[in-house]
Amino acid sequence: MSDIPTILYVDDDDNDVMLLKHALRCAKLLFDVQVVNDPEAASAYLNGQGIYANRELHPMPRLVLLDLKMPRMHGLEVLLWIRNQPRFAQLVVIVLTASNHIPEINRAYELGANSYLIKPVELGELVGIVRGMSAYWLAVREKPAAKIS
Amino acid sequence: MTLPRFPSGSSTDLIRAHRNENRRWPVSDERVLVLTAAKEEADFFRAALAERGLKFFACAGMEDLCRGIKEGAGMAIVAAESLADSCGELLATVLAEQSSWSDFPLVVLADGGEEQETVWSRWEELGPVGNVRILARPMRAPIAMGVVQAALQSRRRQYEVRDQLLEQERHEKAAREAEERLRLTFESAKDYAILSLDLQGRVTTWSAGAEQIFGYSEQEILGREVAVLFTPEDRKAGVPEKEMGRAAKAGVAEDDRWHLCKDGRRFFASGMMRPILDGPEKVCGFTKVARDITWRKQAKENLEKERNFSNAAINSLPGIFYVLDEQGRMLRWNENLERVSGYSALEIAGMHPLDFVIEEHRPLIGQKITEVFRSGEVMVEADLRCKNGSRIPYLFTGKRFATEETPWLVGMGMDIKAQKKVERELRKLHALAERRVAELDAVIESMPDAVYIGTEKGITKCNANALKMLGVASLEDLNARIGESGVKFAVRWLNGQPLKTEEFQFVRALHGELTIEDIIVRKADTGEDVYLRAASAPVMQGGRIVGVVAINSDMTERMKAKEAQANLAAIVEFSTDAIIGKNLEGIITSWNVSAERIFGYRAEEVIGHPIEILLPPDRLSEEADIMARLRRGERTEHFESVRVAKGGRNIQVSLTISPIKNASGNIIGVSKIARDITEHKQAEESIKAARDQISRHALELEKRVTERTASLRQSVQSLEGVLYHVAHDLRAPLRAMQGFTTILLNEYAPKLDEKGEDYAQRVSTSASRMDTLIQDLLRYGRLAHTPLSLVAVNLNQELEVVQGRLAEKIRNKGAVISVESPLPEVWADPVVLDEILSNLLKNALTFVAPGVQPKIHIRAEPAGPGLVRIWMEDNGVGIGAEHHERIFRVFERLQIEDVYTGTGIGLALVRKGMERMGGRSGVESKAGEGSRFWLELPTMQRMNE
Repeated sequence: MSDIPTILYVDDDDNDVMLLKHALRCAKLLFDVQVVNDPEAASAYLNGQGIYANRELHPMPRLVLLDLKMPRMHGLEVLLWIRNQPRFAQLVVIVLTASNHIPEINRAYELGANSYLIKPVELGELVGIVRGMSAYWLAVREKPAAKIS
Repeated sequence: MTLPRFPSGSSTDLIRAHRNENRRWPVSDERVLVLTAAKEEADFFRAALAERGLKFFACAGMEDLCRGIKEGAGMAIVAAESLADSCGELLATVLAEQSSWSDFPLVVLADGGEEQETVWSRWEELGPVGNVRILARPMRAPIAMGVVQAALQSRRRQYEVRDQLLEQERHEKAAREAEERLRLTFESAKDYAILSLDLQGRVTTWSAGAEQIFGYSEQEILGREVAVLFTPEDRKAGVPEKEMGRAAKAGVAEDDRWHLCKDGRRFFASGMMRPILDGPEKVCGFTKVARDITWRKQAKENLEKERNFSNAAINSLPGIFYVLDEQGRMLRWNENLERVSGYSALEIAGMHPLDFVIEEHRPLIGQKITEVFRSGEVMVEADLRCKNGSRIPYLFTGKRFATEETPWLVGMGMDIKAQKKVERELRKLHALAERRVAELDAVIESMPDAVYIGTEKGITKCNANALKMLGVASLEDLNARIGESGVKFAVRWLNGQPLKTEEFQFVRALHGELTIEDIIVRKADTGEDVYLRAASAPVMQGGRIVGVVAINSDMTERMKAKEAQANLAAIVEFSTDAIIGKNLEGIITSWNVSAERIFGYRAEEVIGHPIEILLPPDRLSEEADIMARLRRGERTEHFESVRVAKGGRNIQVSLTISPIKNASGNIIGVSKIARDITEHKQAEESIKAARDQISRHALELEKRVTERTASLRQSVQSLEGVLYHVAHDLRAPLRAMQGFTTILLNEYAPKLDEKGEDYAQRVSTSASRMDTLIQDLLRYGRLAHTPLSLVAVNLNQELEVVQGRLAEKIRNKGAVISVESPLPEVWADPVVLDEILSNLLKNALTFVAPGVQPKIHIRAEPAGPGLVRIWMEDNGVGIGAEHHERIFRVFERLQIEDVYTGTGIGLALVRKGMERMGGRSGVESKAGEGSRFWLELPTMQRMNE
């Protein structure tokens, strides 16, 4: 198993995926970012089913970044599913979405989200967000080389 | 040698003293004068005399010898040859001149035979000079010395005679002097009569003093019997003879008695008669010395009298009396001291004043005694200590007085046992009185009424209720208002007529009147009227009015109650409902006019009768039910039933039945209100029909409203859906635009020229701006549709939160924000209010002319009942009056984008939010003069009402 922490990013928007990866690069953070584009794929990945059966290629993530508004299934349903699986109890789930709708934020926390982040328009802000997120949630597993200077 | 100084003493003593002093004669008196021309003769005597310890004196010639004789010598040895011619005569002359006692021994040295005769004849020639011996030559020492010794011995005898003569002479002189002194004394002792008598009692000497005292001259009295000087009584009693007898026998007779003067006057003489002794035991006469001491006797008598008088006086003193000196000796005291202390006079004489007081008071008394001698007068209380150990409280006085430098203390002591007892009693009485006063005070204070005690001078005591009832602060205040100028309280009779001074209950009580009356008094502090029942009574002491006690009861409540009762009675009486009172047994006790009207019975017809007369036969049990409910404490209200009127007519009634309770809450009766609803019942039927119709309409209406609401809710929900999608989906492409242009600008900059970079920049800026617009729109949309929850919001806290959030912007702009605290609590949705305040503050910070420091002032003011207007005043660019309404619309912007940033949503949000919270908003401003935005919100106060 690699020492690089794995992040599972669940989002249907390729632009946002690209931008996040760019932001991680900008922040000089070394992560294995695994991306799935819909909730079904997310559960398959976490369960290690189908194409995700090989854990060498698709390691168990330390952290899940979860978009909310996705086709066919809402992100909160994924969150609910994760929180109902005792084996994922340690899994950090962070909501990363465009919506700042208060009821949605409250609901996410009620269902057990570790954090709720709003996708910023400014790229710079996104860099700041991933830095903070990494420092807070993944610091323990970070490699010395990947440490923020 | 001086004459001895012997003013007294016998002559024998005198001689003895002299002898003692002169046991040896002077050396010169024993010397042996030797006159001879033959040296060997002179040497012979020198040696022989020296051998016998005798003094040798060689004379140069006859003159020398004569001088030696005059100067003093034991004897002389003269060679016969030296007596020749004038020398012999000279010697004869010297010897002839010698003192009567002296017979100077002379030894003439002559050759034997013829020459001795010559010597004798020559000696005869020279005259009668004896004590001459002839020593024949040649001399032999033993004979010569025998002659010399014999001569010297005779000389010594002469010396003894000389000394005796001298002694005698001296003694005689002293006697003469003594006699002279005596005579002078005798003559000058004018105060004393000195006389002497012979054995027959005849006067033999008479002094000048005697003449002065007795009046007889010396000539008159000498030779007369001394008895003439005695009083006839004494003469008759043989006193003169007895006196002489006593004197002769005892050596002295005192003689203190009355004597008689020549003129018959009597005087008291103190005298002494002594015998004149002519040899031992042999009386040859008498001397009598007498002194007139009449004055002394009289003084003594006076003194005696005085003493008796003062003794009587001091013994009659009620207390003890004493005189002490500074050493604390008891000099005088009265019998009381002896009696009280139990000490005898003898004991007292030896006691110290401190012995008369108890141990613990001694220092005090000692100090007080000292004080008397120092400062003159003192009074002190101490316990007298008696001989038997008992103690008595005493008041001691002391006063200093002095006779001829000697100070005394004279003082008295009074038994204050009784006084002490009285004092104790008085103290007890006083304590009792104080307790009584305290009790009285307590009684007065505990009384629910106002109580005043006073005299014609004013109120001397009153309780707190009195002050409260009259509305005055203190007793002084009260008295000041009553004062001379008359009562300053508006005191009126119940009819409103003010009381005249003489009508006051207090004043009348002072004149003995007892009053109980009702008055109205205006309270001094609040000015409200109180009804008082004023009772006043005089305080009598020994048949005299010494004061007044007044008690005022506050009748205001009772009067009000009475009024209320009257009102109530009127209400009851004139109520359109029948109001019937009955007791627990169901007997009617009261009956109003309407009862009469409704039921047809007059009050006097029904009062005292059972209530059952009003009940239809089939409803008799109803009454029992009602009573049972009442006893359980339940009221029966609007109970519709049927009752029977006079004449048997049935009446539809609505009954309200309530218990009548006495003061302690026990039910003592029942009040029954009966309303005739016969007509009402009929009206009710038609109302019911109308109501049914209305309710049908209402149901229909309600249904319609529900439908509308549902559709409205649906559209709101769909709008929310739209908003959500807008928020999410519309912004996703924006993020992409923004994100990638940023990457473009950052990472591909070298491949872009200036123009390309500018375009990319424009894409980025536009994307950002659109995002802001979307977000503002979303906020507006949500504000317009989200349900609000209004709660109490502390404006101060809220403003702090908002300022905190905008802290960076405030700091960057260097803005000064002042808040006039405290701001009120308002009724608002915190989220919405936060949004509104944020927007206004942001605007105020934003729309400021370049270079101007933003100054923002926030304050609140009441804006009508329960409303508050919050003002936010800035020194910004201001807004022209024509724009004042426009700016509150969505997307209305006045400023050009380059200068001021904004989406044009902010004030629309403010207006919408305020409207939704039931408030208002607005602005007062002129272009260039700053703006004053205001918000009007309900305050908490209003909500609480």
